[in-house]
Amino acid sequence: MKKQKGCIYIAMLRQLSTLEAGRSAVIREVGGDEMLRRRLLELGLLPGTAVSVRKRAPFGDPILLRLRGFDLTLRASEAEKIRVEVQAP
Amino acid sequence: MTVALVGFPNCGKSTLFNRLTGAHQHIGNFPGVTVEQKRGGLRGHPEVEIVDLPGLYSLFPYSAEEALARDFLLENPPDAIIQIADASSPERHLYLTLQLLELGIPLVLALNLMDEAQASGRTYDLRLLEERLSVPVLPLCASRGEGVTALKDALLSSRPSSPRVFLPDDPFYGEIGTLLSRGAEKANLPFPYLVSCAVMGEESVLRRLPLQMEERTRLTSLIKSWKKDPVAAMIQARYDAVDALCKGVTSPPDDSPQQTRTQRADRLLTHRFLSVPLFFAVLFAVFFLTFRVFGAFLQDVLELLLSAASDWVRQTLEGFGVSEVLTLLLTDGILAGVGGVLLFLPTILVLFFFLSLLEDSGYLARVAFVLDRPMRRLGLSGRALVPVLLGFGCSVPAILATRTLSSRREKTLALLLLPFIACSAKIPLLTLICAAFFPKEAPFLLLALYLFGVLAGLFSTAFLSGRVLPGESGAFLLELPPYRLPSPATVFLHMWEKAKEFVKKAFTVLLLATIAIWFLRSFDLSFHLVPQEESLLADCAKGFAVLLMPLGIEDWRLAAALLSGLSAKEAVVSTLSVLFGAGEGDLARILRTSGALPGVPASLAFLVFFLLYLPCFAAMSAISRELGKRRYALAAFAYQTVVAWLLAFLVYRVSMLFV
Repeated sequence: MKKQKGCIYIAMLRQLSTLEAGRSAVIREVGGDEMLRRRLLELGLLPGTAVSVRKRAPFGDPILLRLRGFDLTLRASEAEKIRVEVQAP
Repeated sequence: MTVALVGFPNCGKSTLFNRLTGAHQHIGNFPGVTVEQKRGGLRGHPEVEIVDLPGLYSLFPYSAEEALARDFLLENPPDAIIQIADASSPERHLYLTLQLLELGIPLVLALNLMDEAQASGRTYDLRLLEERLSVPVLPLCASRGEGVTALKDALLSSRPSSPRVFLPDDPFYGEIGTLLSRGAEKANLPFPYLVSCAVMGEESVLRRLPLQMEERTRLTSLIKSWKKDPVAAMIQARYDAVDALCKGVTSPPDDSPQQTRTQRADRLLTHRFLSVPLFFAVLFAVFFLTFRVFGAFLQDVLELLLSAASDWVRQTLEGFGVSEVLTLLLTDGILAGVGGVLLFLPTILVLFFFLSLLEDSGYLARVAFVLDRPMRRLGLSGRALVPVLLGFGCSVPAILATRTLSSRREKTLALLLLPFIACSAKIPLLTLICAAFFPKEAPFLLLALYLFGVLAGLFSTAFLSGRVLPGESGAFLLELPPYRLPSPATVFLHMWEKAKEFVKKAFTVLLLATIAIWFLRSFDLSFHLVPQEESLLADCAKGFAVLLMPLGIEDWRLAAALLSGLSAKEAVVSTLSVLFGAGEGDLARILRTSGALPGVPASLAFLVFFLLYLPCFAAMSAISRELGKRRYALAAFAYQTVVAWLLAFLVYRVSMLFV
């Protein structure tokens, strides 16, 4: 992935929870409470990691992510703490 | 020599454990099936003890069971660790490898599912990886047993090693090390891991160090001055080290056929509209096939065999002129009691077969994903569905599975929900009463009872989470494993285990309970052989029966049977067989004609009370252990009994209006 510089790059950050199913993005920031954040980072949701939203659960939440060759579920309330840079579809 | 099996949840640890020890243990395709340490001797080397630890993603735990596994490694350092990793995604597993190496315990790395990885086009240079890690790295296919011998050899020749750190040189680590060195020596904990704990903020380990206030403050300020985000920096450094390790060793392939298959299956099984009806259809199919198709057929066959055996025993004993009391004990007591329960073995096995199929295939994890949102309304997460569904089999493993839940509150709620779920040990009595009093409606009534239990449990959970334990459910981090068809060997082993367990239970707990009941109903306080109405048992049970009178259950024999059900739920049937003298003939018919349960309302109330009252002793002690305090356990059991009584009373009264 290419790194973009300056304010344009910052302006493009979105919450992972707002991504539509099928879209891909690159993780830029991971927030949230300390324990959860540490676990997310350890599972490989590190800044610079490519992630895609595979689908949303039938009731709209949680969402199913794919990254580093595995599938991980996350609730929207947790995914909104993760900021991503959206890739062109 | 002790060897710990360590690895992610659901990467074949239990399968490997079975291969190494020959002991068979339940294997599931749901993250976190191993909820207790299982031990067994290495096949051919009984002096080597293998410990199967709960799965963990990292040495910095997030759930109770991960903490259990980590604490085991720190407190009882094994002589060697086998790390089992998934060969199709080595990068994530190597991240854990690097943490394990910091413990300074000799390590053997086993790359499982090598066949699957190679089929997807991944190649490996294992020699190069071995060289870089300087630990033995072996390919493995645990389900087929390939590579197990080589792994054993590598294990037996493993040498003591010192901790190794794969992090970039940074004077910062040295400074932290100096600060911690005094405490580390005293606490006897591996040094490099302690440094990591300090950076990662792992208080549960740092607390074990005798650190002074001043050392604490210096540690905190040192870590703060290192990087803006020390936790992320350390994790990133480890992932960079893993990338360096993998370079030239292996590279990720494109989408594997398995992944495509998984995505295609997920499209249907987690479909927006179809997934929920499909789940209920699957459950319905499981119950239908269990009770109507396979179970019922096998049961008929077994019934013929058992009654032939019983006749033969009676004739033989009479032929030999054995004393009357002994003949009665054998035929009326043991054969009627234990035999009456053994009859249900096929049904129970078939149910376990389907449950393990749901679990091992990876479908249960999808159910947790699909139903997380509705479950959250009850204050639980989708994860809690796994113990609930396992609870249809047996409550004890289900109770242990609540350890995979991330918050204490959710675990407590799940533990309080489980006794509402009809476990397979309740099948014998439920089937019997349904067949005796509602021969035409039996299948529907059985299904309705299962539903009634689930609904009562869900309402109870909603009530408890609203009033008693308010709060939100924990985070929902769940890895969805790819769909796998469980190998026939695995499924067969699982069935075999269950059958063995059941037969063992029949000839230990149930046999003892049956003999005890037989004696208690045959003698009075001064050990005279008396009619059973005047026996010791009758005296005790009549006291309990008073409490059941408002439910329309007036016969003391039913009360006695319910009491004996606390030893094991199947014992209710064996006790009824003894007390109603079903030594010869059909217990269902005898019950119907005895007038013990007059009319529909009383029969329904009896069914409902049996469905919901206290679980067996084994389950109660497991619940009590998991709840932590005896006080909580007593409150939980009192709650369960009151709910069971009230609902049975309600059913009794309401059904009286219609009859």
